[in-house]
Amino acid sequence: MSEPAASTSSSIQQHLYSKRETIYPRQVSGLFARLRVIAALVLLGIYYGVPWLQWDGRQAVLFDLPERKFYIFGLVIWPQDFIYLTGLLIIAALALFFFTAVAGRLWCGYACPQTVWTESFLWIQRKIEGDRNQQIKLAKSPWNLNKIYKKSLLHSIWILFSLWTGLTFVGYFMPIDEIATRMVTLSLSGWALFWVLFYSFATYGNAGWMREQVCIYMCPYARFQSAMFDKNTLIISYDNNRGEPRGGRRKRDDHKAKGLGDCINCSLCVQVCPTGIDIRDGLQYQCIGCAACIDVCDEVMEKMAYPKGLIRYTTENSLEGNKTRLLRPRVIIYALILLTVMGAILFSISNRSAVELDVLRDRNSLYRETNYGLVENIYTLKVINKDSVAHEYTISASGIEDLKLEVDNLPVTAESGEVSNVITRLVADPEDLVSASTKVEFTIQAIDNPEIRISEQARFIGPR
Amino acid sequence: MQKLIAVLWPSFLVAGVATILFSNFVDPDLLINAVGLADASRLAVYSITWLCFWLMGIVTAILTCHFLKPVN
Repeated sequence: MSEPAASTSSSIQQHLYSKRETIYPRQVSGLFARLRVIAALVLLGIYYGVPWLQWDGRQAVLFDLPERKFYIFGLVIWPQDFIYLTGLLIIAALALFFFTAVAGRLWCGYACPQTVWTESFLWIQRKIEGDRNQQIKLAKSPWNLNKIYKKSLLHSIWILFSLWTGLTFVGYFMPIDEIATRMVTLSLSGWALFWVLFYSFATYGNAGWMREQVCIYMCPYARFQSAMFDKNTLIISYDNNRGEPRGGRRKRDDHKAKGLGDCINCSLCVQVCPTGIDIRDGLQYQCIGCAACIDVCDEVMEKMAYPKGLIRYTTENSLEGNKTRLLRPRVIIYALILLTVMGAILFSISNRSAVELDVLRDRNSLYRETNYGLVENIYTLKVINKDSVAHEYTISASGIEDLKLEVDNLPVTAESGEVSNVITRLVADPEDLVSASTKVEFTIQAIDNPEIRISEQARFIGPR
Repeated sequence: MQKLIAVLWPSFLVAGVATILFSNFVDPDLLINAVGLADASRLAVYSITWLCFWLMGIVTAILTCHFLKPVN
């Protein structure tokens, strides 16, 4: 039964893929276009600017992979604090759910990197090739000197822009001033160069060539966002009742007498659409909610002296003449979960321990018998000072009767953000060992502040 | 094109997540010592880890595509 349906849908998909025509979105101006430009400028400014900020003599935001430390302004995140990054991602996902339920695809239309960079690339293309019609004409024209000049200029600028983008991206993970210098002097090392080029290539490919196909075929969010939608979600919609039947007319015509709706069928809403759909066909998952069609349609309505808003931000309920409810169970539940997670993360960040202890057993031998017939185990203690000032620490161990702890250099010192490796020997009488492997507990404590302390368990191995 | 995206893209995403999880629990320095690549940097290890994960994902995706074909 389902066989023919499946094959039809897959043949339609193949059809879409093979028949993809390059979309040349027409430029729009208006309220939402301005909002989109402001959003893009702010986001690009943050992206390209943040790696250059300094904080306490170091890069303010640096996900230092080689050193395994993440700096976010005053906060230093260690691999042990990974839970916070996970929490941050969960918050981001929940926020996306929440905003989608309330306001639809705001993310796609205004904030998604794919949208922002595509718009930037389109802006460059417009500066070089001219408006939509000139772009189409140029694409159709044979390869003459003018076309070669314009196309190579376009792609050179795109590539330079992409390289800068790639460099900035890697600058979040390695010191950006160093990378930039090395990039200019062509002395960037292998893997750093690989990542700069990889990210640049992705930028160039996604924003220059793939564009709306990324949203339609590759974006996971586009596929499931409709699950967060309901009849009260803000969507961009064409007012069918008002617009139909559509048709051309002169401005002075009384279209109502002719039996026409408000849509003059100028097709501008289709021409401005970055994903090439016709909003008048109803809500489609290709629609990224950029509101370009609203701007352009409002302009037309103004020229025709009709009321604005034939295409507008609205909700399904409102289109049907019902009341739109903002507070509904779905929204309240998303908001509650979001607030809970945010509160929990904030609470645990502000209460996190200022010191961290890792205990590693010596790998070379399980245990050693000393000349006095005692059993000795060797451990490396990694003391990580996560506080903003240096500390001295004492170490103690418990778990076995008469357990002796030997450390060469006491007290242990660690600068702020430093890891101190402490070789520690535990010595016990074999008589006191209950089994071959006994649980012991190390405790370190800051000398100047007894509240900074942490314990970590380990195993003491003996003969059996 | 569609197949290419279906193979490369999901495996890329998963490789990213897998690399983050993996390198959070395993310090690349330990790997460097274990394998004996004395002059490899941590960045190189992260990158190679990621490429390996991607490669595995690609193989899985290709197999999935292969098995999706009807038997007859």
